[in-house]
Amino acid sequence: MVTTIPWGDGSGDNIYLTYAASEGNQTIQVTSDAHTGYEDRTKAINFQVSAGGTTITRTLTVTQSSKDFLVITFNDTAITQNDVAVGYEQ
Amino acid sequence: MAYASWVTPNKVSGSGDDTVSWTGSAHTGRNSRSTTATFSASGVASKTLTINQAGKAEFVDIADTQAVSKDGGSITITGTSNSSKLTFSLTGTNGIGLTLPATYLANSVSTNNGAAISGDPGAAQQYTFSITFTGIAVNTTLSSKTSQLTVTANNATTDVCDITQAAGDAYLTISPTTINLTAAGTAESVTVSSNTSWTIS
Repeated sequence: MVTTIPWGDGSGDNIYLTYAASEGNQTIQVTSDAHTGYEDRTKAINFQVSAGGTTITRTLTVTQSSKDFLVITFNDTAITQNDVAVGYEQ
Repeated sequence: MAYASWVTPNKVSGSGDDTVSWTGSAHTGRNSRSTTATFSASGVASKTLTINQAGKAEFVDIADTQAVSKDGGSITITGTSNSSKLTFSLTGTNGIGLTLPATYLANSVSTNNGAAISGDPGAAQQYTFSITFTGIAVNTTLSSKTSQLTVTANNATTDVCDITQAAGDAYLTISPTTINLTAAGTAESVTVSSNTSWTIS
């Protein structure tokens, strides 16, 4: 079974949790749509059981790295890559 | 009149013709018991009265039920008997997973399960016995568990104690609690451990 959790960052992307059954001991595979934004994103996913008047909640924090960007800036004297000087133009 | 303390006459003196009533206290031993009372009067030979009391039928009586904490640990189950030998066994489904101890206490004396009880205290009177189970595991399920202890006397008389362990608590763990996905969203694994059904939100 697959549970889909929206990232909720306006991208329309989702997190996908794939597992055999929602009871007992399970291993869950967590995947996501590719992240094309330029900032990392984080989502808290809650796991919960309720039995005998007791509710237990555990939180899984999922962080997805942003896609690597190459930012080159040209000005009169220097070339920078991701704000780091990489060259000098005569 | 010298007689055993377990009998009591309704009078200890009198004159002329009379009737003396004798009352015995309850006898819990297997064997019959006997005592002699002597009637004396001046100028005549004394007379003796022999008083017999039958023994109680061989029996064993153990607690009908015994509760075990959901956290496990140990329990002691007690009972009474007048048998010369007691044998304990776990009967039926041993849901709790009890381990039968090799010994128990009979009349405060450590006794091997199924062996003759030292001094045979039950011949004279009933005695108390106890058996202790240790190392009972925590109940990690949400259901109660049961086991059954049967004690058998030397004459094959039996009694049963139903042992119930309370249901355990629900638990839920996840590991790890934080994962980092690549920008491409490559799969990462999370392990969920629980004794019941869970939801994700």
